[in-house]
Parts: sequence; structure tokens; C-alpha cells
Amino acid sequence: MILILSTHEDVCATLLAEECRARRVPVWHLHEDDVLSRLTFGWRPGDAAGSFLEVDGCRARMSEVRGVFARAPAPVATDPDLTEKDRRYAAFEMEAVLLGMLNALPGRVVNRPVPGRFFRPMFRLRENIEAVSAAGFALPEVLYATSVERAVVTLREWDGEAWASAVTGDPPQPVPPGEAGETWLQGQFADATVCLTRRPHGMAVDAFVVGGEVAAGLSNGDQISPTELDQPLLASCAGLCARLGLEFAHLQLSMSADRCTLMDINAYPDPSKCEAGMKGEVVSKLANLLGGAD
Amino acid sequence: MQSGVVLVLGPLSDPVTAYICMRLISRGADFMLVDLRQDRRQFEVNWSISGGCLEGWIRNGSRRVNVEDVRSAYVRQAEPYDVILAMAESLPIDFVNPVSAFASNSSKPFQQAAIQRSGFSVPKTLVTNDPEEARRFWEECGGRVVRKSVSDQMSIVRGVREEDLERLPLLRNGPTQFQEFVAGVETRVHTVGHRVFATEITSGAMDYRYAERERTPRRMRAVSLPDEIAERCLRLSAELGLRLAGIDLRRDPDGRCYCWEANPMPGFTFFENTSGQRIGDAVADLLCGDA
Repeated sequence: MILILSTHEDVCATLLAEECRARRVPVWHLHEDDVLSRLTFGWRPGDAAGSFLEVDGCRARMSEVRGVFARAPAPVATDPDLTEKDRRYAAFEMEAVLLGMLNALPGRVVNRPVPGRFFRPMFRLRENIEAVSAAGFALPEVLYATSVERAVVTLREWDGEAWASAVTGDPPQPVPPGEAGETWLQGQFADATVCLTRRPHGMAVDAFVVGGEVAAGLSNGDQISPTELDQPLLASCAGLCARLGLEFAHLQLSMSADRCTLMDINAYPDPSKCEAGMKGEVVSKLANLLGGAD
Repeated sequence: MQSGVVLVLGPLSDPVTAYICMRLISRGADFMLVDLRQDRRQFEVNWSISGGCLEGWIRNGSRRVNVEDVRSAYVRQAEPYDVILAMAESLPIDFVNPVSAFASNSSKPFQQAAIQRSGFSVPKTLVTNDPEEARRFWEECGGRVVRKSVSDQMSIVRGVREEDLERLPLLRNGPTQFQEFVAGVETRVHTVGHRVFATEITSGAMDYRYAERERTPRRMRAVSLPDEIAERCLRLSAELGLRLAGIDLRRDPDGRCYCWEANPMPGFTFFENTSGQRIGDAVADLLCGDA
């Protein structure tokens, strides 16, 4: 049994569920509005064989769950008939259950959730910075500023070549070129801290790491086309993910003649921009990882 | 006392934050108090990483401190996406406690696994949204069951009486944690770095924090722990990445030591006021590098 927890919009999770079904591997795919309504469980911590999950009347021991693909933050939608306070409480409680339960399951849980582990902004935690350097990647220049005016000055010093994000889990976005970039920055971050990452000159490479294997592609913004990376770089990608405890990740790199700079790492990859063949490769590797052997 | 500025991140209206400030003042320590929820115009943060090196500053009111002058941080506001916390977490400083370490308490069953690894007993537990399974557990435990929240949301521990079983269908709205009731003597242990402070609590209430509500007396006194138990507490704190922790223990009549949870942001003044233990000074020692 493979358990998938995701939002309805999660392309990767949907493709994975289809792949598992094509391989005739039993799969439960629950969306945010299903978790409380379709999932019944009796979890006795420390006793996986004595604990169960049940979906639509079909029951499995927790020890029979071979693999889990759960996207975080754990998607939970609560009963709309409850009061706002009760809904919030029920969601907190269910998220706490999922956090504990996904860590207790004996099967493989892809990117087993670790409370308090943040990957974004990538270069905020000392351990992340050290892991990136140890894996052989160059670090980009990064600025955090509560004053957007200071960020604009830095953006000019960097010739407008930067990505920007808030100090949240949201992905960084390229700053539009030219003066439009300054206006955009002032509009987006007038009341929020901005994290600005300098984009070095180089080729944009996307690497999807799945259980130590890597599928790499070149990005033109709208689509990622497959490419080959040399062996040391593949090893760096896989090594970094191993250091960070990630079995599935999307690395965004900038490659020049003398260095490879890590721009961002996403612990919840979305391969939907990959060309069909590459997308299929990523999903197939993921299904293999979860124990849905071909 | 080592030089450098201690960042105290919390509101002065919080008694624990205020008390830590007092302990720092009493020893002449240099500190900067920042309430992360105050008007953002009151402070400014600017820091950068270039060539792997970190530099920058934080300004609060008219005072500006360079990041290399910060020696430690005391955190009473665990707001993971706050810029000051983000900055502090990238610095090689002493953290009481790191924001990442606060999160283990967000799921009690998750933390329970660490508690077991540290050598403590844990009560028989069921987490469920299935009324039938909850009833079965209640019967297995001979009706000696308590219920509590699964997350770190504030909840009062309550016993499950026979008449409460009628309400079990409400579990369909959201899960609950049930545990076998363990009778015994309660002890709150505060670990501060390598130091251990234990307070024994005697109360007739199911949840001693709410003894007044149940109109039952509560007595607290400082006690010494057996070395083995103290070591387990330190092991648990270390495993959870906590330099300061409030650990709830209960010793049953057979001498077995149960642990319920480790609080990453303990309101230790509640215990210090009664037991006279100098927990706040120990925290200040840690922040000033005197521990």
C-alpha cells in the first residue's frame, strides 16, 4: 500500500498515483478535503502492527504501508460546519497527528517531515550554508533587508540580476529586468523583509534528485529540457540532498566555466515544467523509491 | 562574563522575558530587547552573505548592533519566518532555544518517540478519530484514561469517565490523544545547559496547572533527582536541541519514571517563585557564557 497526501493541484502527486496504479500497486491518494472525512485511524505509538489506517472502509495495518508521499505543510481541510476556532483547533490537531504518524511509520516516507526544519530561504540556517559549501557548490551573494530602499541600492550594484523572496517558505522569483525590477521590488516588499539573491552569469540548470539519482535539465523559464551533467556534479547534487536529509528535491543551479552556484532548493518539487520524457523519468524514479517496483 | 550583546526576543509584558532582562541587568550584561510583534518601524535589519561570510546589523530604536557583536539569543517568540530570528539562526551564537527546536513539541506523539529513546517510560497511548477504537482502549485500560491535545495547543488534561463515552462520536470532527492514567508523584524538571532543577508538585488536580479551578491545593518544593533520572533529562534536552527545557515527569508507586513532555519555552518563573531555585540566573549564565 502506498499512501499519497497532497492538494488537488499537486501535479507530481497525481502523476505518481497514476504511475502506481499502472504498476498495479495499491494506492490511497488523499487530498486536503479527504484527510478528516475519509481517513480513519487508530494509532498506538510504538505498535505499528496494532495500529491501523482505514480509507472508505478498507483497512490496513500501519506496518503494511510500504511507502508515503506526503506534501507539506500537511494539507488538512476541516468541516465547514464547525466554528472558526474549532476548525483551527481540528486542523492543528490533525497536522500534529500526521507529523507524529509519518515519522512513526516503518515504511519509506519520502522527505520524512522534521518539525522546525526550514529550507527557505535557503541561506538562513547555518547548517544549510555549511551543507551547500561542503557539497562543493558556490554560495550566491544574499541580502536580507527590512528596508526595501536598501534592497534597491543593492539591486543596482548587482546590475538588476537577482531573485527575490520574502522570509517565508515561498519560492524566490526573478526580479524583472531594468527599472521595472526596482518598481516591482518596491511594490512587493514595501511592508515586508526582502531576501535578495544575486544571480551570477551562467547557465540555468534544474536538477531533480530522487533517492540519490538525478534527472537534470536546462530551463528556458517555461520548460525544462533534459541534459547530461558530469559525474562530479551529479555526485554533488546527490550528496547535498543526503546531507540535508532529502530524498526528493529540486535544485536550481547557475553554471559558469569555473563554478556551479546553488540558487535554491525545493523540498517539494514540482516537475510539471519538465518535458514529458523527463517528467516521466522523475515520477518513475519516485515510484521506484516508494517501493512500487516496475 | 564574556563580552558581546545578548539578544532578548520577546515582549516585556511577558513575565519570563522581563525576569530574564532583570537577571541580565543585575550582572551588568549588555543586551538588546526586541519585541518581534512591535511596530516594524521601530527596528531595521540588514545583513548579507558574501563569499560565505556573514555581515550586517540590527537597529532597534536608536541603537545599532553589528552581527559579529551578538553573542547569544534568548527567544520567547517562536515566529519561524521572522527576519531577526532568521538572521540570528545563521550566526554562530548560543541560542536559548533555536527556533527549529521549538517545533518538536508541536506533536506530542512525535516528541514521545524521543522521550522513549532517552530512557523514560511513556504511558500506553492511542491517537484516534475512531469512536470504536477509543472505546476499546478505554476498556483495555479499565476506564483509567485521560485525554489531551495532540498538538501544542493549550488544553487541560481530563479524565475520561463512563458518561463521556457518549461523546466519542465527536472524534469524527478531529482526533484526540488518549493515555492510560498513571498515578504518582509529579516533578517538573528544568534543564538549563548542563544544570538540572527539579520541583516536586503535590496536587489533587488531574492537571496541577489548574488546581485553583478544581479548588484543590497545590504544593511545590525543590527536590534533588537521582543521577540517572537527571542524566535522562539532559539526554532528552540534548536530543531535542533544547538548552532550556521544562520536562514533566511522574514517578509511579513502583518507582518507574514516566515522562509526558518537554516544553521548549517553559514559564519557569512559576516554579522559581515557589521553590526558590535560581533558574533565571542559570539561564542568564548560559546567555553570558558563564555556565
